Order: sequence, then structure tokens, then C-alpha cells
Amino acid sequence: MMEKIKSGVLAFLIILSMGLTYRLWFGAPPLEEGIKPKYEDAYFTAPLSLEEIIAPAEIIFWKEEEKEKEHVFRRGEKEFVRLLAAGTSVLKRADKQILSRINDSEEEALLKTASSKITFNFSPVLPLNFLVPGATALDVHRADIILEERYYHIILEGEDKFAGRIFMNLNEQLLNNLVPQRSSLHHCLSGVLTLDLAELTCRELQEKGREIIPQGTGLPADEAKKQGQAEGKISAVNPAKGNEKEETSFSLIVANNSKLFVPVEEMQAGEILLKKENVDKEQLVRAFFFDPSMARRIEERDGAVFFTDGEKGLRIYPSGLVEYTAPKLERVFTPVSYSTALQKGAEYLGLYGGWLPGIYLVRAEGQSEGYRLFWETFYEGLPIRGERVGCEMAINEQGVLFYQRNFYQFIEEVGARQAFRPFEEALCRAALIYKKTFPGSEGILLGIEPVYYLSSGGKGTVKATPAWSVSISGMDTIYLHWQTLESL
Amino acid sequence: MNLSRAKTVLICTFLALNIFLCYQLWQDQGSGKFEPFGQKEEITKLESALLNAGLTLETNLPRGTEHAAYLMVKPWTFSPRELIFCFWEALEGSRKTAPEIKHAGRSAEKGWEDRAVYFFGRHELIVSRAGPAILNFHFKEEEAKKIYTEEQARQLVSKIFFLHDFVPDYTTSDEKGKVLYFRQEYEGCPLYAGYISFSLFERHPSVQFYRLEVVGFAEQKREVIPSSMALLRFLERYEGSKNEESIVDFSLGYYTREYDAQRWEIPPVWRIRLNNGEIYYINAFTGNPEI
Repeated sequence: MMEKIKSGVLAFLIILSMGLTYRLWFGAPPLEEGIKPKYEDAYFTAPLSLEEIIAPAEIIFWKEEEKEKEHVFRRGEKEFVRLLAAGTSVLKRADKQILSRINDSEEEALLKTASSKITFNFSPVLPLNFLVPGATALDVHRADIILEERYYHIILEGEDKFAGRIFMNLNEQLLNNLVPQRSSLHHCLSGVLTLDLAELTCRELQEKGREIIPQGTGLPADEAKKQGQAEGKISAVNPAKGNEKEETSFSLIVANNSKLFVPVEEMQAGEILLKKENVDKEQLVRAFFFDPSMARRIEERDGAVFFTDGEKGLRIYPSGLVEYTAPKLERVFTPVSYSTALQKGAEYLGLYGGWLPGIYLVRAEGQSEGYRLFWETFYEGLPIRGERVGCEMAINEQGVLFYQRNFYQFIEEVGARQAFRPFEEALCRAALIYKKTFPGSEGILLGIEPVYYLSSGGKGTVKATPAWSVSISGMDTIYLHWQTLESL
Repeated sequence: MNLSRAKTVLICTFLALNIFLCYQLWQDQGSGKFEPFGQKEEITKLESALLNAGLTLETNLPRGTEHAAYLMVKPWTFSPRELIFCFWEALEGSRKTAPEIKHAGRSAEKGWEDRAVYFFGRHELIVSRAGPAILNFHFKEEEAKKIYTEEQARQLVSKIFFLHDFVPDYTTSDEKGKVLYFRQEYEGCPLYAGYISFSLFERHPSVQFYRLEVVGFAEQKREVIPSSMALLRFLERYEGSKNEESIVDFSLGYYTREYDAQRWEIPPVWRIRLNNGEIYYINAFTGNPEI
């Protein structure tokens, strides 16, 4: 009996010693089982492929017969998406063996014989290796595909120019893919635009049904317009005489590096209804703080919720606007290359809310602390603008320093589609606004484009109005209602 | 040797081994007074870091595993009038002689525009929505002597009912005079964010206080980083001082800066107080400094 007790005690002591050794070696078990964060699970949407990170700002199709006019397609248009897919498949063949450096005269010679050409304007610029792995290191801001009978030329322009000729069976299918299926004629503005501000005032007075005394020379408006365009200028319709002319005319100089396309044909648009994207807050917190238990919650008086771990902060406003800051990273100066910044930016956008349909990268600014990237939503070629609308991200080698996200999604068109007021009138209206602040007689035109502008909000939805966006140097961008040209 | 004797020897050996292991575990959990097995290296590292930072440790580091959770707090809301009556009662000993209250509007001082100023008796109360409240005493000379003692300052604080959860913390003194610090407590745990600083300056004694209302713990308690690790994290960031300074207090509590928010979670912190009056807070979950 005694022996059995001894055996039992010995066995117990052996097991106990093993248990104690284990406990001493590995420490006490945690009070509660933590969930190991999985990085890949935190993504809202799968990361994009390299070629999807940057899309051109516009695709321009030109053919010999149409001379000065070009077909321009912008981000978000169905035709743009189709042409981009076709163009990308061609540009992907621009590898090192095909490309050779060319100069301006060689490029000119190539363009001289071309009967049609499709141009992809990249802004921000596209690192060529995003399309062609192992390609020449080149940040492309323009890619041309010149279609010939049995081959096509590719011209790539960055800091240097490269060209290559690819022979192929140009079958009907490929040709069809690279040729627009609908018209979208545009005119490129350049040089000095002389605007007659009196014309706009007269027209507005006429619309209001008030009696006006014409100041013109008797020259029909359309005729004068044609004359002006032939001179590369916007027409000075109803020019005033002598000193009056000086007072009512205004010159806008198109910025040298800008290629401003304005529609030749009538452009139709209507108001659209948008809804704020619904981002899963819990998932967002998990994405920013790998261990969400380290993030504490602050409920602010304005209804915003702020999460912080003491080093970085995530604020989610009642409107749904998301703002993230990591001030500690701002003090870390580690250089990051442009292509790395783009790749990381795209990856983080997928992680911090995801990619939505119609989102495009529109700007990439190099700064001392890294890069600042901007995305916007497009609907049928028109960007959706408004105060703090879109997404902004500051990034360096260490990660994201600042992030602000406020995307809207399209629900439906409301109201009838109507034609945009001509761009000349929009320019005149903008010039009148400009003159109030800067009473000189000229300004530098940085940009003009049709956009959607977020105007009034409803419960959960917001209405966006078509508008002309006009940028003149020294002033904030002016948004003008597409029908009334009132400042929005 | 027969089997029975062999068993006896083995039982004794394992018993001794188990006692040793139990002792080590006990030490490791911080209940023992001696250095735990295997922590010698860490102590050497700490000593060397302290030496490099020009600091000495004049207090014992808390040992053992501590557990804490985020604490949910909200701002303490009060009516300035009620506050004045409470102070008046504590100062005069009676509510019967109600003071005449004069609202002097917003403070004109830059950065203090959100603060409202009240005068009652010969005293001045400055209140703000999100920051601390300040009570400036203006006593007659003979009256002032009454409150210049530490003991009487403590008594005055104890008489004010809404400051019942404040306990004396520490005292500092310089050429101007002494300052008594009190801290708020919640369930026996220091809440450093809530404080009273009672300046016993001869000409302008004043009380500055900030109080938080505790909603409760926001989650289940979990292990915090050991004090030694917090000290190391602090020393990594400590920029040093011209003079040799020493750490006079090292304790666990809760801290937050003043927010103008509806309610918020505050983290457990290791508070490191130096003899020169500087105070640092190290987040007891992340090891990052709390500013």
C-alpha cells in the first residue's frame, strides 16, 4: 500500500515539476485569448495591378480629315474605358528591344505622315515599368499610337522621347478598338483669348427681358466669333468703341504648359443624386491600428469619433468624412521614389476604405516629406468636386502621414439633361469675377473644364450640379452653374 | 538500493525542485523581494540607461504583473453659481451669508477667451468648458495667514463636497512658495488627469482644479507593460537636463489631456515624476509617451 502511495506522490511531483517548468519558461497564459491581426483581411478591396494605378487624364483621337479638332475622352466615360483597355494592350509591347531614343525632328517626321493618332495624356505621369516590366526607366506624360497601314508607331514622351515601330496584322478588330465609336470633338485653347465682357452682360440683360441698347459694330455675332477663332482667339463679339472697348474687353493668357480642351459640340448634362460611401468603421479602425485594442475612442461634441493610440489619430466625422494623421512620421525624412509612392498609395487606398468604381488618381505632388496623392470620383467624364470631396493622402517611406477620404457614389440623374452654356460665356463670367478682385485687364488661364459640383444636401443624399470649373492664376477655382453661370 | 528507497530519494528530489520552481514563479510575479531569476541583465540595462540619461532612481519600481483597462470618462459639468456657493461655504463656514456674484464676462487674456470670469466676495473664479477652473483668493492680510498652512489648505479641499474623490499627491516648493497637488481617484486607482494644484503663494494664493466624471471601465482588464519596460521606453526619449536629476515617483494610474469632447477613453499610464517637478506619462499598453 505504502509503495503505491509513494508511486502516486512521485508521479504527481514529476507532473507538477513539468507544469511549473513550462509556466516559468513560457510565462503565464494571457487573461484572454487575443486575436492575431491578419493584415490581408483588413483590405477593403484587393490591391490594384500596376497598370490600373494611373489612368491618363484624357485620351485624344486625331485624324487628318478633322484638322484642328480632336476627339477628347475623359476619365469615367465608357468610351474612355474602352479606348484605354485597347491602348494599354498596345503600349504593353513597348519594351526595350523596340524603343529607341528620338529627337523632336524625328518625331515631327513621324507625325507628318500619320493619318490618325491616339494620344494618352498622363497627369500624373506614368512610370513606364507599370505597363512594361523591366522597361526603360521613364516617367511618361504622353503616349502616342500612330496607326499606319501595316504597322503602328509608339511615341513615348517623358524627360526624353522614345519611339518604336511594331509590325503586325492590323486586323479590323484592333483598328476598331483604337478608333472612337462616338464623336466628342474638342478644340484646344492656346495663346491669348480676348473676351468681350459686354456681350455676356448684354445677353444676360436680354434674358431678363430688359431693354438694351446694342453697342456693337453691326458685325453678326457668329461671324465675329469665327473671325476670332481663325486668329486663335476667342471672339470679341459686339466690341465696344474706343475707351469703352478697353473697359469691356479682357485678355486671358492660356498658361504655357496647359493643354486646355473645350467641347466644340453642345454638351448635355443634368443634376445627379449622390450618396456618401458607407465605410465599415470597425474595419477602418482595424486597418489603421493593427491592434485595435490599443486605440482608444473619443466621442467629440460635434458627433465625430476620434480613435488614437497616442501616436496616430483617426477621426470619423458625422458626415462620414474620414481623416487620419500620424504626426510622428512627418519627422522621419526617408526619401521615397515616385513609383514606390504610387504603389504604396494605391495599396493604402485599398486598405483604408477601398477603391470604388470611377475613382482615379488626379494629382501627385512631390514634397520634402514624400508625396501627396489626390483621387477624385468621375461620372461620365466629369469629376465630382466640392469642399473636401475626394481623397488626399500624404505618404513617405514609413507609411501614411495624412489621409482624408470623402467619396460619394452615384445614385441617379435627377431632372432633365440640358446643354452647358458655351465655354466662352463661362470664361467671361469668370473674368468678371476675376476683375472685381484684380482690376487689371488680363489674367492667366490655368484651366477650364466641365465638372459636377456638390451643392445641396438631403438626408443621406447629396445633389451635384453640372458646372464649369475655371482656374485663373491668383484666385481659387471658380465653379459656375452650367445653366445660369452663377458662382457656386 | 531497493526500489522503495529509490522512490523516496526521487520524491525528495522532485519536492525540492518543485519548491525551487514555485519560489521562482513567486519571484517572477513580483511578490518576492529578491531579483527574479533571469532579470539581472535587464537590471544592468536599466542602470546603464539611467546613467546615460543622468538620472538616478530614488524610488522602488513597482514589481509584478499589473492589469488595467481603458477608463471611459466625460467632462464634469457644473454651474459656476453652485461652484461659488460651495467655495464660499468652505471659506466662510456657512451658506447663509450668500456672496454677491458679479459676472465679468469672458476673459480678455489671449488664449483664454473661452473662459468666463466671476467675482464673489474678494475672490475671483475663472471657469471654462473644457479646461480647468481657477479660484484666485484675495484675502485681507490677517485672513491670508490662516490659509497659508498646508494643513488648512487640505482642510479647505476636504470641505468642498465635489472634491471628495481627491487625495493629496505631492508638494513642490520654490521661491514663490509651496504648491500642494491633489489627484483624483477612482476605485482606489489614481486618475492623474483630475487634479488640484493649491498654490500657497503669499500674495496670490489660488486653487486650480480639473475634474473628470468617470463612466466606468471600457473593456476587460488586461496586462500592462512592466514598470521596467516603461522606464526603458521613457529613458529612450528623455532628452536630459543640465543638472543631475532623480526619479522620485514611479506609479501606475490613468491620464489624459483635457479634451473638449462628449466622452472619451483614457489609457493606464506609468507616471514618472522627477525631483525638478517634471512629470512624464508612459502609456502602459503601448509604451509610448502620452502628451
